Amino acid sequence: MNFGAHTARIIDRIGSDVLYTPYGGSQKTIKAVFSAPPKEFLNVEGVSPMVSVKQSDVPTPKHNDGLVVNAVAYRVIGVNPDAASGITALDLEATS
Amino acid sequence: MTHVRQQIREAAATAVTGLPTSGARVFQSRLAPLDADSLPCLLINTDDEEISGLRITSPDLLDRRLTLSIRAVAKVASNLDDTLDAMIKEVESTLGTSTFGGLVKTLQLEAITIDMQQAEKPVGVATLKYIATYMTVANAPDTAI
Repeated sequence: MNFGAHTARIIDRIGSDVLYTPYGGSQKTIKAVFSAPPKEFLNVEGVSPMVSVKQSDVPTPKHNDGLVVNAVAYRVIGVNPDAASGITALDLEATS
Repeated sequence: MTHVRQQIREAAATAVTGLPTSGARVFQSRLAPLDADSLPCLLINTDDEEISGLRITSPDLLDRRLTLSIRAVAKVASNLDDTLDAMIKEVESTLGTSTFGGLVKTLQLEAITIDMQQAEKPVGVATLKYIATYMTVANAPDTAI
């Protein structure tokens, strides 16, 4: 079984269209799974937004790459690739 | 009359209400988490207190050093440090050497500490630790003398 192909199908099936703009590059639409679990930060309510993307869609993600998810603009502040699954989890920060 | 601790806390809250950054978002002794509508804000707490007795009257005179903590809390997309520094400036400028109408003998800023964490936007807390000195008679903690 090709684990990478399997996880890619999952992303395609449950993911949503997001706009991805590599820093200094051109925007493209990709499938991504977005989550924003709630958490408290210094007694302030907040969330930890992140997306999972296919490495085939975003082979070289970098900090400050841009994403638009559900009309909210984010920048990448953390890159967590997983070679086995072919998925990269990107930590996000809202830009406004 | 309420304990002088409470009078000091309320006087501090009144003094810092309406500052440019935090506006009316001033909360006393708040424990509940802060939501987006509550920010940026100031949290006012009267914390630990050192007390020494002066046996020159009966009951004793109490010489008291109260820690008054004012926390400036903000969550902003950029320049969190600038926002916190602006809030610190506003609080310091307002309190200055205030005596809260004679409630305290002195009000001294002793320390400032900063905490920051990453949420969907950066979150930061600047804590201004003031020492308020005041005196009471041992059996009359509601009257500053």
